[in-house]
Formats: sequence, structure tokens, C-alpha cells
Amino acid sequence: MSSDVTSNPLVSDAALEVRGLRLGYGATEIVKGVDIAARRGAVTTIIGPNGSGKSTLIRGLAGLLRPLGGSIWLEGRDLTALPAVRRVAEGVGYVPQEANIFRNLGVAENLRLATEFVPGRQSSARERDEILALFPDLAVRGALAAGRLSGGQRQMLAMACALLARPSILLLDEPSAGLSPRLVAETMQTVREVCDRGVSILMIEQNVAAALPVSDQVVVLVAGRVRLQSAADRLLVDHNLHRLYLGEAA
Amino acid sequence: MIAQLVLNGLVTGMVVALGAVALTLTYSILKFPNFAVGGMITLGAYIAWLVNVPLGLPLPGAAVLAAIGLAAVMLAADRFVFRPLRDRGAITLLVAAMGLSLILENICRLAFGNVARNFDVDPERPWRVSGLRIHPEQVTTAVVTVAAMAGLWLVLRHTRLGRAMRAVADNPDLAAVRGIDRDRVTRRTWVLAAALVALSGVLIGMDRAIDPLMGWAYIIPVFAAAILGGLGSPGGAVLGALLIGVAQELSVLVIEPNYRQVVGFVAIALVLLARPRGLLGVEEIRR
Amino acid sequence: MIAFLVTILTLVAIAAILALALNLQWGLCGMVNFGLVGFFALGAYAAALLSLAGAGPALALLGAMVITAACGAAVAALSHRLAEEYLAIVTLGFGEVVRLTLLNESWLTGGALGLPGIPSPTLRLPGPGGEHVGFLVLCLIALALAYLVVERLARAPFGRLMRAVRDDDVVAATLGKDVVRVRIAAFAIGCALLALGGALHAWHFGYIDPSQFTPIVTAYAFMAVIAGGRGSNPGILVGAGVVMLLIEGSRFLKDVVDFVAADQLAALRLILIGAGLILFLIYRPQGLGREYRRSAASFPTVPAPASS
Repeated sequence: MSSDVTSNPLVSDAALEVRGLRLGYGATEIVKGVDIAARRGAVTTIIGPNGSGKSTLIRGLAGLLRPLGGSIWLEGRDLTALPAVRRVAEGVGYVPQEANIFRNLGVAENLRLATEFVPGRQSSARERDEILALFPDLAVRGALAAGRLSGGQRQMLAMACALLARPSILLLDEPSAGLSPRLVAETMQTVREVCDRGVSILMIEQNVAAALPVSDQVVVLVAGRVRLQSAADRLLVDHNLHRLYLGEAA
Repeated sequence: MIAQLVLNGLVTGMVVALGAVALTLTYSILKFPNFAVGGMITLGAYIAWLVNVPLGLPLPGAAVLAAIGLAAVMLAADRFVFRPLRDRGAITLLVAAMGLSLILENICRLAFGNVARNFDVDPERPWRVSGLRIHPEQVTTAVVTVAAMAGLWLVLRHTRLGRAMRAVADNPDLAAVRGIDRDRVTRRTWVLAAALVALSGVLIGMDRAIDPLMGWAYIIPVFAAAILGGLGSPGGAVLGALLIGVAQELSVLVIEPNYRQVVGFVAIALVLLARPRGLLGVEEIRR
Repeated sequence: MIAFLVTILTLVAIAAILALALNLQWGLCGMVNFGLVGFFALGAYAAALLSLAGAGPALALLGAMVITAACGAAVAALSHRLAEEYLAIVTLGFGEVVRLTLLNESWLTGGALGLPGIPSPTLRLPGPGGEHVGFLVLCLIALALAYLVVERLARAPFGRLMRAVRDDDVVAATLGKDVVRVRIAAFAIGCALLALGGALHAWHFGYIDPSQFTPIVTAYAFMAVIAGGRGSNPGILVGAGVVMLLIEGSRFLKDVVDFVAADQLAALRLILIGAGLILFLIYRPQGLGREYRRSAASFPTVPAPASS
């Protein structure tokens, strides 16, 4: 269908590019060779039914799973062999689903840890203030244990932490999970704002209705394979997909 | 009488606390109960004895060298025993730790025999303070333990290493994503734990004698204290240790002194039945 | 020489029964029993006391097994809601309680002096030392029965369930209550077999005291299971035989190298046991044998680690 995201890697406008990536646990393969290109300065959203391998995919991109095959490129650098602990310094920001902050550490400590162990990616004071300004809800006592924040605040704190390390790509694992509808809308708005400030975003989302309006590109993952890649606005008018994915999630 | 027992119990509890905190530290980072803690206590005490008696260095210096020596041993153990088994589950790791404990304990037996040894310290007469007998070693124990705990608290709360340790304990995957190298944190945790255990070995050696089974005798109270406090919570481990120490001493009022060690076991059983997360534990230990 | 061989084989048979019991608990179900020697001692003392009180061998054995199994069930039930690690410490504590009780309740156990003159059953076989051979035959029958029980459990749906639970926390969590009940039962059956070993031990020596029941016994059993291969019952027999022969064989070392004192030799042996355990866990977790698997052979037992 659409060819605008499967571009030639040599003249790529992709921030993050995944080629033939295979992931799994032991001999059980869950992601069965996917090609994805997340365009620079855009929000790319991966949707798909439960068990399609979305979570496995994003964990693999963050480096928490060793790939069984294929390769992962960020801004032209090969990350495939790097474990999670080294990918952050290469510019991969990752916000896991739900367990996305250090619950027993204070809010201030969480923010401090965002960059303390990431050589060369510290934000300047100005950048830091700008990032924190995106998340007004985080104006809480720094000593407060992060586990006592509300779900929405935790999501904001997690995103702020990831951004402080100045990532080239921000990976978001279901940012809307467990949030009230009002917070979902707010979170998606924040995702858009972050992207508009120049951070490329690759996000996994179950809540297609909320995610599509802020997305530029959409990748549909089914049974560990890419079924479709498309511009988001094209998907919005495609009736079949609209029914298939928007209908069931709305 | 009761006040004296409580005092003795608190001092016993402090010695147990060092081991229990070490256990809880390694548990929260490595996610398995380190059954080698018994062998570590014994080896720590013997290293200190070796430096103190045959080599003639004063005991404080010997204690420092014991901490360094035991740390080196545990770094080697981490490299050659625990790291190769890290992804094989807690059950495998704890059996390996028990194997390591056997090795450490019997290296001491092989080198020094079963004869009980003593540190080269002048026995001093106990002080009497308003009816209580206080031994100088008890004061030493209290001072050393409190200082060690304060030092550990500072490390955990206010240093880079402490933040990294708490982050790994809290959420290992997220810690990795934040660039925290788990292997490095693990090695430093072993160093801290070894230092604490070596200290407790020296203090136990001062209190009773040094023999190959000394660590084995403490393994149940140490585990009981850590579980009572909620494995993973250093503050809880200290509280648990003090409670176990006092309960052990007070138990002689109701049961035969020979059964004092049963107190630890009963404490574990009660915690498991009534409050599986321990006193200050944050996480349930249910699966 | 024959007498010596008979003695060795008797000890190997008893060791093999202990190893089979531990294989059921640890090898098959992943339940670490660091208090193995406590259950073994409990069985031995119960059988001895019942025999001394005039009970027949069958009754004494039954009593010992029931008492020990009940204690095992209680210990397993105590920690059943918790992560497996906790069973290890609870069993260790139980072993200490048994040891203290044996030492201190002299009115019952004879304290440190132990219980002498335990009447023992045997088959009266003809020839010199016939009663020893007869007792060996009894031990071998007991071993065969124990083997059949454990092997049957391993092959039953129960065994497959246990392997699945041992290898996969998610399965364990989803199956919930049934698993708990089955695990408690498995642990109790294992303890009954430990009591069987204990009873044979008491009858064989005719005299028991606490010094025979040190944690070393537990270490030997673990060594036998890991060497034989966790989950593999035929392997366990080999493992128990090898460990027992090494232990008994190394006693002769004392006569050859007289510069090594007896307790140093004991220490050296335990260092080797500890090192052997660790080396097997790292380099040969399947032991010398292979685990029985009907259809699961193609599945890996270890999930690929998350690199960190």
C-alpha cells in the first residue's frame, strides 16, 4: 500500500530503522522479522491485537531482549548488539508500561537518575527547565516517593526522565494504559508536543482512537509481522481498517 | 534481670543486624537469598584472627583487613559462581550459595582445624551501671554496629552508588534503561555486604570463640531478622535483628536456654503465617 | 571382604533412597530441602524408638514414615504461599530444631549418647554373615519400592505438572491452588521416603546418636542429585553410588597419606562436595544422566535471558 515509510536506508529520513528483526524467548519466536522505519520528527504508532508482539518488539528496541536476528539502526548507527544499558547513551529513550518509574525512590531522585548514568547526554539547565515545563503536574515535593504519585503523574515523570537524557528516539509502551479518558487525551497531547519540539517518537498503543489523531505514521502488527504501514491520515479514511481497529478499540 | 537480658539481647541483635542487612542488600540486587552468609561470617572471623594473632596486628586493623579480604573472596565468587548462574533462577543460585558456604567454612577448618580460637584482646572487667553489667565488648559492638549502619545509610541515601543500588533493587529493567550497569552495581554490593559480614564475624568472634561452625550458628537468626524485616528493607532487617536478639535472650525465662536458637525459626514461621511482607517490607514475598 | 562389600552396598542403598527423595522434592518440584538431614533423623529416631518399644518392623516403619511425612507437610504448608526460596530457609530451621531436640530431650532420645541396642529386622539367609546379606536384601527391596514410587510420580500427569511448575513461574501462578496441594503432597511423600532411609539407617547400625545426623548428610544428598541429574531417577541411583563410593573410598586415603589428619580429610571432602555442586550447576546442570521427558524435549528449560 504505502511506500513512504519503507524508504531506502541509504537516503533515509528515518530516525530509527528496524530490518528483519526477530525477537522471542528461548526458541519461541514472537516477533517474526519486521521492518519498520520511524521517521525523524514524527510520531510513529504501532497498533495491533493483543499478543501480536507489540510489547516484545518495544522491549527488543529498548535492548531488554537480545535479538534472534535482524538489525536495529538509530541515526545510521547499528544498535543491534548493544544491551539496554548502552543504548540510552546512543540516544534511545524508553518509557515502559506502568512499571515506568522507581517507585521507592523520590521524585527528585528519579529525575536525577534520568541522566546520572548516561555519559554525555546531560541536559543543560535551560533544556531541563523547558522539559519540566511540559509536565506541570510534576510540581510536587521532590522527596515524595514516586510510587505515591497518581497514574498520570507517574506517566509524566517517566516521560520527563526519558527526555532529560535527550533521546534521538523516544519509545513509549502504551502510554495510555491504566489512565482515565481525560488523562489519556492529555497524555496524547503531551506526546504531540514532545514530538513537535523535535523528538522522534515510536509508540505502542492499544487505544487506537486516542493515538491516531496525534500520530503521523501507523504500523499494524499482527502475529509478529507487519501487516501494514501507512500514513496516519490515510488510515483514518480507510474504512476497512477504521472498522477493524478503531471500531473495536473505541 | 529482665533489663540485663534486654541489654544483652540488643547487643546480640546488633551483631545479627550486620549479617541481616548484608543479606537483604544482596537479596535486593541479586534476587536470591545468599545462603553463603554463614561461611562468610566464619571466613571473615578467621581472616581477622590470622591478622590479629599470628601476625600481631591490633584488632581494629585486623577487622579492616578481614573486610577487604572477604570482599575480594566474594568478588571472585561473584565472577566464578554467581555470574555464570545469574539467569538460572533463584533456586539454582541458592543451592550454589550453599555449596560456596561449604567451601568457605571448610577452607577454615582445613587451615585452622576445629580448635576454638580467640582474638588477642585483654579481657576487661564489666562495668556496673545502675545494676546492669555492661561488658566493654558490648560497647564496642554497639559503637561499631551503629557506625556501620550510619555509614551504610549515608551510602544508600546520598551517593551515586546508593541511588544505583536502590534503582536496581526497585526495577532492574528500568535501571538498565537508565544506563545503570547491573554487573558493576552487583560487584559493589558484594563488597559492601562482605565488609558488613566480616565485621559481624569479628564481633561474634569477640563475643564467643572462633570456630568453623560459628557462622552456621548464626545463619538462622540472620535469615529470621531479614525475613522479619521484609527481605529487601535494610531498616527492617535492623529492627528484625534487634527483636530476634531480645526475643532470644528473653526466651530463657520460659524455655530451656538450649533452645534459644529455636526462637529464630519460630519467628520465621510466625512471619510467614501472619505477615509475609515482614515488618517494614514493601513487597509481598508471595508469588 | 564380602562383609565389607555388603556394608558398602547397604549404605549405598540407603543413600540412594535419600537421593531419590530429594530428587522428588528438588529435582522434580524445585522445592529445596536444606533440612533433609532433619527429616532423615526424625525417621531414624521414630523407627528406633518404636522398635525399642516393641513395635514390629512394619509398624515402626509405618509410624516413622507417617510422623515424618506429617512434619514435611506442615513445613511445606507453612511456606506454600511464598516464593520457593523461603522453603529453603524454613527447612533449614526445621533441621536445626530437630537437632536441638535430639540433643536436649534426653528422656526420649538419649541426648548426645543416643539410642543403643535397636532391634532390627532381617532375612535369615544361610551362610556366614547371612543376616547382613539378608538386611541388604531388605534395603534393596526398599530402594526398589522407593524407585518405583518416585518414577511413577515423575511419569504421571502429576510429574509433568510439577516440571512445568518448576520451569515456569507463569504456569505456577495460573494453576494456583491445585499446584499448592500437589506440591505439599510431593514434599510429604519425599519426607516419608527420607524416613524410610532413616529407619533402615537406624536398623543397620543398631545405634543412633545426633553426631550421625549432621548437615553433611544434606550436602551429600544434594551432590548425589546434581551429579545424577535433577529429575532423572536412574541417574540418581548412579549419582548416589558414586558419591557414597567416593566418601567411603576416601576413608582409605587416611591410611595412605598419614600426614592428613582425619578432620582435615573431612574438611577437604566437603570442599570438594561444595565445589562439585557448583561446577555441576554451572557446567552440567543436567548431571551425568538425562531427565525423563515425554514430549517437552524440544522446549528449552531456560528462557533466554534479558540482556542487561
